[in-house]
Amino acid sequence: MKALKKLTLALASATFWLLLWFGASMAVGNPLILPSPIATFARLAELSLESEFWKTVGSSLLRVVVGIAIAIPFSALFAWLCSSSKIADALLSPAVTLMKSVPVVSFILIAIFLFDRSIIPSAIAFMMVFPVLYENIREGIISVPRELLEMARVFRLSFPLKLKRIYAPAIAPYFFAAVTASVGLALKAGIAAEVIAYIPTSIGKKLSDAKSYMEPADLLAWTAAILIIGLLLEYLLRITLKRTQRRRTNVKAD
Amino acid sequence: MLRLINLSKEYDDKNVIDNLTLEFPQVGFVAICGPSGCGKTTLLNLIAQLTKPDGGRVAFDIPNPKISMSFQEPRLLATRTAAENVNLVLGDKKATLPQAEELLYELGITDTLLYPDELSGGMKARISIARALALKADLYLFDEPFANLDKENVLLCTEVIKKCTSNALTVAVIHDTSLAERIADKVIFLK
Ligand SMILES: Nc1ncnc2c1ncn2[C@@H]1O[C@H](COP(=O)(O)OP(=O)(O)OP(=O)(O)O)[C@@H](O)[C@H]1O
Ligand SMILES: [Mg+2]
Repeated sequence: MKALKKLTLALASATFWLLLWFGASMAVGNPLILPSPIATFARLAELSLESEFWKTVGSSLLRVVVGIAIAIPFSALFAWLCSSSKIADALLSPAVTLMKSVPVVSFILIAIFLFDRSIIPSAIAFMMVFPVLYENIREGIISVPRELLEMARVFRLSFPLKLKRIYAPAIAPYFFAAVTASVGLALKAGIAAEVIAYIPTSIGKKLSDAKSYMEPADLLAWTAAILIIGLLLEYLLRITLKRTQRRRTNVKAD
Repeated sequence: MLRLINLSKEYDDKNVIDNLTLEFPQVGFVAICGPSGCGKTTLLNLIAQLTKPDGGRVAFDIPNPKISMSFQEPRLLATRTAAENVNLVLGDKKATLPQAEELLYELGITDTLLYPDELSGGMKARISIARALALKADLYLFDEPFANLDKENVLLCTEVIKKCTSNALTVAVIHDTSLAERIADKVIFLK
């Protein structure tokens, strides 16, 4: 009953915003300035019938996923180093602060000078998720119960065993929450990088072309596609998160 | 086996262990008694080398002795079953799981597949004892192992502890002085 109520509410809200969009497009009265939602989704449906569409979506997604996949071991290593050594922390924390506070476009433009164009979207996705992952994994490490680490020390548990049985269960919820929170971020930034670096076979290039050739329906259709991909990814991650998250976590020492 | 030489430990300028010198026998069951807050847990932590002394030292007559311990709290992994918690100190391999279960049966725990949050305080205490006994050690430390147990279980656990540690030194903090005098080979009073 509760789920039904929630669904009705969500549908009502979506209808409201779509109607507002529809009204606005009627008021503007020019599909070359603001296409209606009907025109936009019709265009999206049309695009999705072409194999080119799926190739483009796949390529963009792959670039972002590569960036995230590389960021995971690096952020874990950084978090580990910084929480075990004050010197490492002092040395590395400015780098993280820099990554967090420098505007994405600056990074993209600098990257265009430094790297081969093709790796820029992945590099930017990396930059976006790294600080989020790093900070969450660090918090997870701090949350590991000291009493259990003492227990492990007395029983001389091997490092892999400690990692598997004490650290991993404590860090996992922080880690998965960080990944879920950062995919959307990485997707948006990665596509912005594709626009600016004008990457072939990319959603970013499609957006850029739509703007250049004055095709607002394409622009909105691709934007809707990004939105749907982002929501879908987050939904899939939430499901896996729920599955992997065991009922029990080592929050208490007993 | 174990000697404490001029051992001192202070917390916030308060001497918890003050220049303590003690010699322990090679093997046997030694009980430590004393009022709450007198430093019994601190002493066990010093012996287990979880805490650094501010003065003096803890000396063993064999290099790198194997020490096993059950803490004042159970300190079990919430994500693992009773048997898996015991098996942890045996290397966490499937092959040793029956051995861990066997030890739990001896201590009167038959629900070896339950998780710590499904167990009573007394059951968790016995799992912690089983985990300490699972390891073949030169020195066994128990911090209030019987605090949460009824009379029958105290007798049962004492028997199993004595059987498993017959070739080692056992140091147990026991709150109940008369119980300590009944079961220990030697009783040490801390002030
Ligand atoms: N980490 C610590 N920091 C500051 N003070 C501490 C710390 N650990 C213990 N103390 C103090 O040292 C004293 C001895 O503590 P300890 O835990 O060894 O007592 P105990 O004899 O085991 O008591 P109980 O029978 O209640 O378990 C207490 O006054 C306690 O407040
Ligand atoms: Mg104590």
